[in-house]
Amino acid sequence: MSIWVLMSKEIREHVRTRRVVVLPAVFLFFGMLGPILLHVTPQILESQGINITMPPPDPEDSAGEYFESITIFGAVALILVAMGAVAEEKARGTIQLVMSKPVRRLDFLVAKFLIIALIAVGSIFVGGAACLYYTELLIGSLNRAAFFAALALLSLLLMFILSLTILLSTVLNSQVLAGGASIAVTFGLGFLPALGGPMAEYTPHSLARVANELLVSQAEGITAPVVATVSLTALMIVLTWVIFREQEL
Amino acid sequence: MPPGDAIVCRELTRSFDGFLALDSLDLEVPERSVFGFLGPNGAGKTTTIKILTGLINPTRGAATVAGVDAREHSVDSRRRLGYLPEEPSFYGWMTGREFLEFSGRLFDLGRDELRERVDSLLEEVGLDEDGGRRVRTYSRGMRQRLGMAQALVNDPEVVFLDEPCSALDPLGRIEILEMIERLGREATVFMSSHILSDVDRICDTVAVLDRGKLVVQAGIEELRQRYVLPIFRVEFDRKPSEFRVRLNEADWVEEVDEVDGRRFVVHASDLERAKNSLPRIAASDEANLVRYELSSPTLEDIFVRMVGG
Repeated sequence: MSIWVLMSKEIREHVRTRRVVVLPAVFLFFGMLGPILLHVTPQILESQGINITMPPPDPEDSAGEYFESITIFGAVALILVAMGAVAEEKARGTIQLVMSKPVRRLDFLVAKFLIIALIAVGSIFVGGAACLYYTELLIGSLNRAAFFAALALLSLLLMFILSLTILLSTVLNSQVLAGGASIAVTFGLGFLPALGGPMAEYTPHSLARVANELLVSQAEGITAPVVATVSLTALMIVLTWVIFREQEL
Repeated sequence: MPPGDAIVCRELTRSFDGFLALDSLDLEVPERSVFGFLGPNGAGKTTTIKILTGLINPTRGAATVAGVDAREHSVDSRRRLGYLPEEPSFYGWMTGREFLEFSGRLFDLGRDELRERVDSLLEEVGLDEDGGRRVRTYSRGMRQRLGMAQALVNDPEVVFLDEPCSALDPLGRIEILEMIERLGREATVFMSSHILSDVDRICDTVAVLDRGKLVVQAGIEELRQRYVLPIFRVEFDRKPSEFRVRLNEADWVEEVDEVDGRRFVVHASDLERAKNSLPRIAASDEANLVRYELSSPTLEDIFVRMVGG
């Protein structure tokens, strides 16, 4: 099965080019930063002679900080890692030597998607584990099940962003263009839930709201964004394949 | 059993945004032959090779490679072929050996078979001592040789080589040409090249493509006899005054190519009359004749004549 060979090559490529450390480093950094900042901010203000009465930080705020970082910095880091997935191979010409061998075009795309997805989801949970550890150490205990469920929802959001980036990397022949377009579309879509209306819940970015709600109560309206995100991700992958299988390489 | 056709193209057509890059190409390439695919830049050679190797879909028409439909059963067809692009690009972070192993694994080669194959290919292309180096440190010639090795990793029935010698120094070129010649005894080699002397030297059959259309397909000897008129090469010590004018008046002259003012290539439609008249015309000029030669046409002469130089 060529897909295993391609996946093994993808893993080796991420390791050898050190790209494998980018996402874990970003998520770990923000996972640790949120609780530590919340904990030390009152002490820093006090040491500067600024007297503001602040409510004591709660663990949900700390987790919320990490969730927000995932949707902003995590999304950008993911786009930067994935933007060359197809565009770079086409621009360099390496794709010609691979695709002239008995490799299905779908396998080529799926191998790219799965390995980056694996690294991204692993990184979310690595950063999440750090966030949980420092939150409980410095601030207070969290509902762990709800916290990890929220991370799973945000993983779906990142999968959507990944599928969008790989689509644009396939359509556009420059990885810089693909990256720029992915960032523009991702953050453009991020404004949709704020506009309200009946379709607002059917957007991937509504998952961020649901993730925050999960921490404090039973989240309502979880089905619509989950179904919408999974469907849109699948649609992006199918669309990418349809375009890619007709492309000149 | 006589060999059949390794490659068959029927009305193979490809257009790009209204531009017809390949126009109803019909082609048959005999098994176990070295087939030269010639044409000027933009003639459609690379487009043809890319269609046959599954990198582009044709707009119309069909093709088989090693008896398998190149579009309908593209994966199966690619299992039987090897391909070396004009400028092969590798993953620079891999070593040469790793790239060959990766290529072999895509063909489902077993571990022992793969190791043996990779060792023998590295030795054959002269990279046995550099197989452990990262490809990014390779020279252009070394990359070309690694490209040749990866095209042969699956012991293919048909090998497509797009300008295989263009990046090589003279010694490297000779080695690769000898390799292609050997390969032609066991597999079918489909080779495009701008270096016509290479094609002349190793190809059994050639096809000439021009502006997407097949101009001719034939054996090289057949081409020489069928298409090319006798050629006389004439050289003076300085620019002759009357030579060109007098040739234009002669009805046995088919065409005159003026090389640099004092050297001429004369294509004659009647060999006997040309042999009789040409030395007299040349000798009667004020300029002194320094070379007069009846030469057999090279593939370059044929090519220039076919595609209009």
